[in-house]
Amino acid sequence: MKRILIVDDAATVRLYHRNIIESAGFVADEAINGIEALEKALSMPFDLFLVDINMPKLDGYGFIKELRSQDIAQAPAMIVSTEAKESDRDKAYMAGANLYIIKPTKPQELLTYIGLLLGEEAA
Amino acid sequence: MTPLLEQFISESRDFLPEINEKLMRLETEAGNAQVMNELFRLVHTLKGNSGLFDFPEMTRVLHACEDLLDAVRDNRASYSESMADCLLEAMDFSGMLLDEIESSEKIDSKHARMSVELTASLLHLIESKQESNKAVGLAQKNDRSTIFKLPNELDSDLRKRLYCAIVNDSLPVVYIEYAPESECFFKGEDPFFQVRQIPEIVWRSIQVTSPDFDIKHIDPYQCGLKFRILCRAEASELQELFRYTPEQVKIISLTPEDLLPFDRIKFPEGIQAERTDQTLDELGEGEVLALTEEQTIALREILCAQRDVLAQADDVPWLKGRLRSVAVALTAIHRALGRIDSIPMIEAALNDALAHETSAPLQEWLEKHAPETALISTALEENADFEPKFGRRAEDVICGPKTLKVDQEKIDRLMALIGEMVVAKNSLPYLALRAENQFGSRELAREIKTEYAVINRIAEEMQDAIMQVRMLPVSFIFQRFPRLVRDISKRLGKQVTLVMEGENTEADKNIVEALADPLIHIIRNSLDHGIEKPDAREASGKSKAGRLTIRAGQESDRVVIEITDDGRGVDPEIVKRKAYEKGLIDEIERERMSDREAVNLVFAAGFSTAAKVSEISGRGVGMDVVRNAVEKVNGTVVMESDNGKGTRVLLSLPLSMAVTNVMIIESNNQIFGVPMDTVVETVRVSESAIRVIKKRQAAVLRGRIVPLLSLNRLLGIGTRQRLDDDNKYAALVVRIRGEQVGVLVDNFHETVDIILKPVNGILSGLNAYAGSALLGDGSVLMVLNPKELV
Repeated sequence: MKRILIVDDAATVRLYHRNIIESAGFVADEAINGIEALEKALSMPFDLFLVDINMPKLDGYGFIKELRSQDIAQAPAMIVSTEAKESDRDKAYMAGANLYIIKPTKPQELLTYIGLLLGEEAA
Repeated sequence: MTPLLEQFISESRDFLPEINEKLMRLETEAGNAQVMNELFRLVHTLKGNSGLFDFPEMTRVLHACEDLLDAVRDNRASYSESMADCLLEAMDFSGMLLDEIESSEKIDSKHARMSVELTASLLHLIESKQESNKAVGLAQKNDRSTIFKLPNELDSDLRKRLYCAIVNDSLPVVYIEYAPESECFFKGEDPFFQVRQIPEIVWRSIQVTSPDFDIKHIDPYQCGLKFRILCRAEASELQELFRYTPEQVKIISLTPEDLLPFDRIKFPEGIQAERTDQTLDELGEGEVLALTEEQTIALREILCAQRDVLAQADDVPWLKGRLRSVAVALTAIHRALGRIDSIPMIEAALNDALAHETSAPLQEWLEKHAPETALISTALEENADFEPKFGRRAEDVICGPKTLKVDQEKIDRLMALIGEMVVAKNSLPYLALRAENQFGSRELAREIKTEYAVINRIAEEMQDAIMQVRMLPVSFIFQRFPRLVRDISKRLGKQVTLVMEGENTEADKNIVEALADPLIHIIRNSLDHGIEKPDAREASGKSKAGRLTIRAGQESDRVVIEITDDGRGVDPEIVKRKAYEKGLIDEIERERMSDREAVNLVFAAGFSTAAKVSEISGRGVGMDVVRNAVEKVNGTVVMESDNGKGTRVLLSLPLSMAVTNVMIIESNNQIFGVPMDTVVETVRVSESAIRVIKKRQAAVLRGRIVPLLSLNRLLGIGTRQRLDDDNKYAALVVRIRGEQVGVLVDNFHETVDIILKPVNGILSGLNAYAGSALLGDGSVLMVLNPKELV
């Protein structure tokens, strides 16, 4: 069973993503900021991270940077942000995110990305 | 309502007061970056949340708020009171929309206008300072930020040709989408001419934009067209061409990937020459996996993203982790496409990259093999060896949130259930009595009593626990006050410092909610009538800014709230005169009344000291509204005033109103309950001790004259009260608004804890009853309301 960690400070967004993820038969877990996400990533393996940028305590960039520099997880990290600025995108890739998509995302759209990044048979 | 929408509403309701609080805090500490960032984050999140639903009115306004705050953060605009006003208004608007969403799950389109106006005024606040930057901003505008999709009509052959042009000849290919605004003819623009100026057009299409296009009703003065063009000119050249209408045009330089997919990957001669042998082989036997359009776009996006990640600077400490994650992502998409044969190559490239601490090997591999290889599927057997390593595996601790949000209905249900249990448990003593008297089993009776004691204890603890759940800090209503005080004092031209203490004091939710209106009323009064204007304050030797203190605290089983201002206070003489003029007191009372009593006359019905009705506090209702609201939940309110120096209003309310302790009394062979908090004492009064003073019965009790009233008379029952064997009446002394009154009844019984239920239906008009309750033996007890009765 593929496990996906949703990292977002907005409970509404977490629920929205959880619904989508669970509808496809994946397991969803949640963290409300980068710190909590790191703690979770340290305690169990995840196959994908769905990360918001703007969060208290530790933001999305910081979280992914930690993830990569401490070698906590190599699983792809997908930034789901409302910012469409090129500089934000670059910052995300610099930190080690693997994809940057703009909120709001349609469920099917999000699932397509998730499926591909999890290596699920496409056809 | 879906759980998602419910979550949205509840989360937004949490955010709005926080945002308001921060907006106001910034007024005094404008430079506080931490507050600013926190505020920005909250607004940003709220906007993001609203974007998940179809609430454009709300999203639009919040987006503008976010932009404005961003501008403040970047020093492009400066925070001011008028800006705060505007932002607060936007939050009020959002709150109003939330109410509407909660009740009807949608936003009425009538709010669109307001939303647009608010947005405009918010953005106006940025623009004034930003005008000069605008031109620069537009030139750098990036059209690639969202997923970009080429028109479907573009045929495969053309895609291939252009692909080759980019890959082989490094020629630019630019996609242009030009949607002239409908009024463009009146601005001297000529869209057709404009389009004809575009050099090297390779493909173009014209679309009608209005959905219900009808040639019969066409308005020739309106432009309703959209042009889509592919050309081989440089993007900069085109930007120059469209420089007068940048907002109407999208100019996008295409990458080779943008032109994918062709329906079958079969490259024309030219391109193959550039490819390595290995690729050629793969291409030769490759079949395109049937991907949906959505998947193709996603695939392209992911590949581009990995390329972009690899293009980032190498000299960061987390490079290795980043490289590994790219490899994992690439592996995943290749696996998704069934291209398992590529996986070892990715691994090799990764190892090479890790060894040299550079992205180059992976970059090279990606340039050579992707996306072409990614789109080709071959039927090779599963390679099970490659398992991405995930960090340290520890015990699976799942830490859930520490607080739960529970629907009030669920708690109310628990409350109702425990109420029933209390009643059910009360039937055990009756059972014990029956066991002893009717069945003659003393032992069984004792055992039942022992069990009863156990169940009683558990039930009481449970009741207590549930009551704890219902407890809410008073900050729940206090948090609205800074805004209230700010807005009102501003409107009145007064300066007020608000001090709040003890916001963490907790009380039952119903009590806290019942406090809101009376408190607001008292605060309004203080601001309107109590605190003077700055010059008047200075003249009387006070500081310019008035001080309003709201202090909450717990005293035994009551919440006490104190509202103190240092305003002009209440003049007892004026109050007395007004009360006398209005006929609330007579001449004698006016003479005898102490200042303290006089001040409290403001709570009398029909009293209002304001000479004229003002917008703030006088709406024709006086402080009696406050008293009524407070007494409804068994609270009291007292005012103290030091003329010229200030006023103090003291509210005292029970912590909880879920369980009521009542005394059971008997009258005319019926039993009634009387809330214990009104009972002062029970006494027996002999018939001879009763005197008639001013045509009313009274007796001297403990040195005071206490008026006596017969319960039968009060309830309209014709019979006289019964005397006991010693020719004495049973008198229940109750305290009503600080005065003691003796109510004559037939007999006293025990006191019990009951869950008081309000009287419903046609009986609800009977004010003499506070409610009803179920007793242990299943009978109904009517509970009297002495305040209304006497």
